Amino acid sequence: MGYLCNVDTGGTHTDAVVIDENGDVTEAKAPSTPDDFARGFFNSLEVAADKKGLGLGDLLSESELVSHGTTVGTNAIIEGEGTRSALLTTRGAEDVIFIMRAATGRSKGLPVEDVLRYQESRKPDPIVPKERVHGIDERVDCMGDAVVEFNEEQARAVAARLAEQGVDAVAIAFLWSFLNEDHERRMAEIVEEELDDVFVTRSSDLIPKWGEYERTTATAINAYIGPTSADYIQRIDEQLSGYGYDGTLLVMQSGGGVMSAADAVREPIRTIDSGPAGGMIGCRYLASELGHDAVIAADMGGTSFDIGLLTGGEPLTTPTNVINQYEYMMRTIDTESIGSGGGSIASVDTESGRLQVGPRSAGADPGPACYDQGGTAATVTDADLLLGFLDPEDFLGGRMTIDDRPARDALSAVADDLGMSTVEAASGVVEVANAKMADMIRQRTVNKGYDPRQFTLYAYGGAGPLHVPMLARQLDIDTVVVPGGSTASVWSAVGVSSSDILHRREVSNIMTAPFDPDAVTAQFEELESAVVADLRAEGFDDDEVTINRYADVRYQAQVHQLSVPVPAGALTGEDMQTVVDRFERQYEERYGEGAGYSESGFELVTTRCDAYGETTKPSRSADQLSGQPEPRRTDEVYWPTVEGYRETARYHGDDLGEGAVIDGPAVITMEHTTVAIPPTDVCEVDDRNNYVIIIGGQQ
Amino acid sequence: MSNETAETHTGSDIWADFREGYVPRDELDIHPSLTLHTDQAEEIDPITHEVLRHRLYSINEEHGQTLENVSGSPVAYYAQDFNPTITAEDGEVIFQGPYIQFFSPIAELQVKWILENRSENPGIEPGDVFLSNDPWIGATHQPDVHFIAPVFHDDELFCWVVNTLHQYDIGGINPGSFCPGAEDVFHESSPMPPIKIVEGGELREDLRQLYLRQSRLPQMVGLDFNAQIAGVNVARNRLREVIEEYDAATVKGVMHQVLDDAESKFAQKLEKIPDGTWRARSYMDGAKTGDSDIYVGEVQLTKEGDTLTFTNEGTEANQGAMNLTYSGFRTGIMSVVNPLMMYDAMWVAGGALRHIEIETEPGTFTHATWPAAVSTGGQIGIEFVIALVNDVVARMLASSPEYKRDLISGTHESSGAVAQAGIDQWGNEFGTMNLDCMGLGGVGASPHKDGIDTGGVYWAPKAPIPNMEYNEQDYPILYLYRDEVEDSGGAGEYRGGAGMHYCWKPHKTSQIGNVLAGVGGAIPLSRGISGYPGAPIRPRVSRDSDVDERFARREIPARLDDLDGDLEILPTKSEDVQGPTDVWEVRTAGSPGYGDPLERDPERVAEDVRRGLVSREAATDVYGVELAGAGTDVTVRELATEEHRAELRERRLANSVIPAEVA
Amino acid sequence: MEIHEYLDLDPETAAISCNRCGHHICDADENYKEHCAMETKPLEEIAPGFESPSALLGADHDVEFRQFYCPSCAVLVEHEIARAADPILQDIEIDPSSVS
Repeated sequence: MGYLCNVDTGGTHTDAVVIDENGDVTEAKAPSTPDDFARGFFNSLEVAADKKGLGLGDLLSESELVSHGTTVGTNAIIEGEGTRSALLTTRGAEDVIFIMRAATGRSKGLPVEDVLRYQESRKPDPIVPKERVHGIDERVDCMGDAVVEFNEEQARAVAARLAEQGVDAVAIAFLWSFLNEDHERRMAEIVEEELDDVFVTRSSDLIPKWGEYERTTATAINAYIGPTSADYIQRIDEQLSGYGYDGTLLVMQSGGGVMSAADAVREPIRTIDSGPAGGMIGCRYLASELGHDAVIAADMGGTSFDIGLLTGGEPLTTPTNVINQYEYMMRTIDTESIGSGGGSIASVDTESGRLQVGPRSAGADPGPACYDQGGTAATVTDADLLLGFLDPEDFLGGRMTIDDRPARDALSAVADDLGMSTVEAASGVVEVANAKMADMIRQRTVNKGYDPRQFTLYAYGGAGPLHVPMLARQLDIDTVVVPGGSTASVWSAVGVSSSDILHRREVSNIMTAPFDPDAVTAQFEELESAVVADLRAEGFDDDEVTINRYADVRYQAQVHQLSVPVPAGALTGEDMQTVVDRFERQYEERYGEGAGYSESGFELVTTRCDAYGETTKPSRSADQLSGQPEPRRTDEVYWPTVEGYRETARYHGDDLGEGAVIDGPAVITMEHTTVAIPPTDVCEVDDRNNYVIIIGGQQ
Repeated sequence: MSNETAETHTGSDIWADFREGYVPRDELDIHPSLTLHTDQAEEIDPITHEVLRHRLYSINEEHGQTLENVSGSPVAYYAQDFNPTITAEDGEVIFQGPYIQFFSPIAELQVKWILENRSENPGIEPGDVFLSNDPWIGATHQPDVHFIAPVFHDDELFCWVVNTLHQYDIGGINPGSFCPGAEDVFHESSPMPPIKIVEGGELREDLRQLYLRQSRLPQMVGLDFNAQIAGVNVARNRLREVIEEYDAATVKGVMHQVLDDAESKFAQKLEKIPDGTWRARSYMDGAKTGDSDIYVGEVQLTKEGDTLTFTNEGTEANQGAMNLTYSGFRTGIMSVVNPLMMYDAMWVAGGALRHIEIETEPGTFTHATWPAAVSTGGQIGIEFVIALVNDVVARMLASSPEYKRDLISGTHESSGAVAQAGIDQWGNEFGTMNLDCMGLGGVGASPHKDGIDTGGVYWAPKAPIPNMEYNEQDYPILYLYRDEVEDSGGAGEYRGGAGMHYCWKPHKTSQIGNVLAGVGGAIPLSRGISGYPGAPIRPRVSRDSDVDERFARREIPARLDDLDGDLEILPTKSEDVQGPTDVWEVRTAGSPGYGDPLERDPERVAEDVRRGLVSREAATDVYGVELAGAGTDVTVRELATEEHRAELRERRLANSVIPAEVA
Repeated sequence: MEIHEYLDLDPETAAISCNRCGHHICDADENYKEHCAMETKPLEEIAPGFESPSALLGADHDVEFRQFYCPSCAVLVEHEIARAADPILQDIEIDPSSVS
């Protein structure tokens, strides 16, 4: 087995992770290069290769898989650097993408503090400007019937206009096209005839699901980022070949699997927000290794705290995602975010004298005060430093020095305003940040119908392993796992390396119960034959392919839909009843007893097929120790959980290995993150180098 | 709080409340058998404050999510027509959710009335839940049903959790319970003063049946019932957990700190605003269906030091079906004050209400006496009041250089909702409120920015209008278009938000019965500071049109006017039967602009024209901007614009007289 | 001090003036609109997008649109909608002693 390489491009940093056949993980970081992200991609791999004493060509020619989580698509949307795209809709629906379902256009994805502040509120910039949105005379209805036949002449005139406008990408989204795609197909043909070298996306191909706003947005976004993303991926692909990599470049999808470069070029929208999805897939893999059924995955970085849930070992997904206040239809691993990260700013409101922590962030630039890059605001990281958790001499593997003096200045200003000592203020900042994260976890799990006490917490990201062990007790959770020790800080990249290839197809076709098993089977078979053909073309044998079927079902009089697993093969009436029963049970678990309006009947809205092609999984291992490790030194650390100083052992990750048992209070410094083991807790390192913290384990 | 002896306890004057609307006195008369928990910690460290504040807000959010999840009803989901509230033991509103805002400031009235008039009989005990929709106690109208639950700690009443959820149908002569043709409240759904629906944790099945019996769709109402019970239970349980974790005095202390903080932020703002009186006046277009008279309504806001007093002098008598009760007026005030003045205090209404006096005249249509018809209060009466209150509050803020920036010139108050019923395309009976009405002109302009086009209303911050495909699946309609409307946003230096058309015909059915309840059609109900009003709501129908022939010719008309049919503008209170070739179009209102349009940056006007939000005609005649080019390619002719604007200014004076000199 | 986008109130002289051109409009206790240049129009002439209310109120309605300009520089100070017989609403009445 060769190397498994993963590169994850972020806004500021590009992370590379290389896992060899022994499970040794090499991490590398390089600055991102926004003028040409591809450079940062190869720079980070070069740093990794160098750490292993290899040249980049050696590394790549001996790599089995190269996978990539990219933010190129995300950046294109947020920075408005897409392409000269156009949108074709049914006449009368041209403004769907501007109306944005009204109030949600100005509030979606924003914290409640912003939602309540109209004075600064606005809708986002248009994805496609009004002058390049055109309505076509055609109309299909809710039964799939053509109420207005496709007007060829008018459509061709519009296509000619697009050519005049110099359009290089076209999104086509007609009403009800998921029931009857004839008009969209015909439109695509005409567009390709009239325009040279044009990137075309049709909604009936990309995401044939009910709900025109979210479907149109997805189609428009895909077209908008299409040419730029395609360009980027092709360039990486070519350069990889140049270095001797003879495999396929795999790109991470937000939906929970990787896809080939060719697919990423055609449907780049699937790559948006793939970062958090990578982390969650890593957690799925870890959960299967450790036998955990119910997991809360908590990723705390510089700006935000993201959580996701795994139940039955699988990450929860949601049918839509939000970017830049636009909600678009693309199934995404369900994560939720609040502005509580290492860079979150602590301040005292001048009028009320109250302490606030976040959501404003110092980001990476200027960053926390202790980074000494000009930031003067007190942040959570500054508090962590003053409390004694961070080792100023050994931050980020020693490649960065942090200075406690600006941190102290910033925090003592906060302390003065609050009338407390600097260390009490620092502790308070961490307590508030932790409490907000605990509230969010509580809300999220309880609202999905789960009890957090039955879950295990996985903690990763730059600041997760430090903060999450401290807040676990607030949720009555007794186990926290920091995956792979140091690799917890690049967990997303590791996750991508453990992703299978995913081909997902879904189509809406609303049916009322009793469901005709033959009709439903036919729908699934159509989806399945398409995805299986795709996987075979990619070289997978049947025994490497797993297919899962789902149906989105709802009660006729109610709005909520749930995805329910569906049996394989030719379906029977009994199978349909099984689907209904599963739906009713899931609905009750999710929304409460008696919440479902059974008498109103059932609707099957969408059928979905998820097909996975199995890829080589990384194995990870821990170093072998000859005895229990010794701490490098002992420090006085102020623990917010006990509101006092404790003598705390400070270990280094390099000294730990399989079987290490560490009693809290202790801190473990690692290259890109720090692990906290609070007083009365115990940490054990397992054979895969996972740090398992048992809350209250010392008693 | 006065705890009279058992002999002297009388509560409030219940039958006066039922007639004129309950106005709580400063001292409540609560039966001595009930003890309120008033112990609060004085010294609470700032960390504990922030941790608990966030937790309590989070509990209220969870309450709201429970309502949304368990109800699943389209009305609840698309209009977000519900809200959870936490009040103090004495009813002061502390936390409210970010859903429809009408309900939370009203929760106080329900709680206080229950404290005064239910503390003796049947009593208030742990595990109780009360239900009420009586507009003369606390409701904008009968469909807004409140569930009110006391939270006890150690035999003392610690606080209350309340939720409100709009029921699609709860009785009355029209399906949907909006009755724009009602003569009086007896044509409408019956108001229910607080009844104890859950007694010490046990559901009163007899009362539940009585309540559901009022509705044409008892099963839908039953689901919402379950959601609302689930909501108060969730909130109550979470609060008990928090009290156990911290201790009652600390939690209560933080609650009061939150209120005091909100109050002091509000009072600090009032210090920087001069004293004075601001006035607003507008006209209700028709008291009921078939009435073409107009009725004047006025609001005055007087500020003296740190007190704001609202009055409604000059408002006509209640009559017809256009009326709003005192509780509706009161909540209309907070629906404006919260977004304009409490955004930095997370809309904690209780803090501001400590400095607000209301001295409205009973017997007027914005403080109606029983048995006036009030079912349209939630769509007509309150919109009318909010328009007037926005006017005076914005004008007051405009007088403060420090807080002028916070003003919003309005939200589309000219509005209306269409209730639809009939047989759907699948052969089943259907009834619904068409929630496209929430796609309104949005937020008006401010002194520093344009309004938000089709941005919804500021009193329902997150409401998503349904997709056309959702409505077309569930109801027998086919949309011709939904578009942002040119020239609907009020002109000004900063432009008001544009409104939206929704245009549809019956599809695969023989007819649809529509009932429209609205306000501000004939006469715009919208006024900016200096800026122009937004265009009013305009419901129209093209009867017996040639729409089918057009479709056969592969054409979809872009405007109702393009159809060959009998075009009619409908009054805002209408009932109508729509046949298969009758095409209805509703234009939702735009919101007002701010400032003189002749001062708008000409480049912005050009951009508005390019985006189809301002017509060329308006660009020239109203904004004074001269443009070159056409359609999406227009550019500004700067010199010509300067000259034209000078000309328009001259013309203004030439066409004017100075009233004081003519008198 | 500014009491409106286009109006200043001088607390010493208790006088209201246009803050664009300085023109003295009236005293603080008077209705500034009565001292502005007032233009009256039917509702359908407010702007494109507005229609006559006659279809709904009958042809004999008397609702009008009043705009108030600074008599000197013609800036649009305010507007109101009223029936012909309705008095000009004094929508701003500020106590000069509370103005800093």
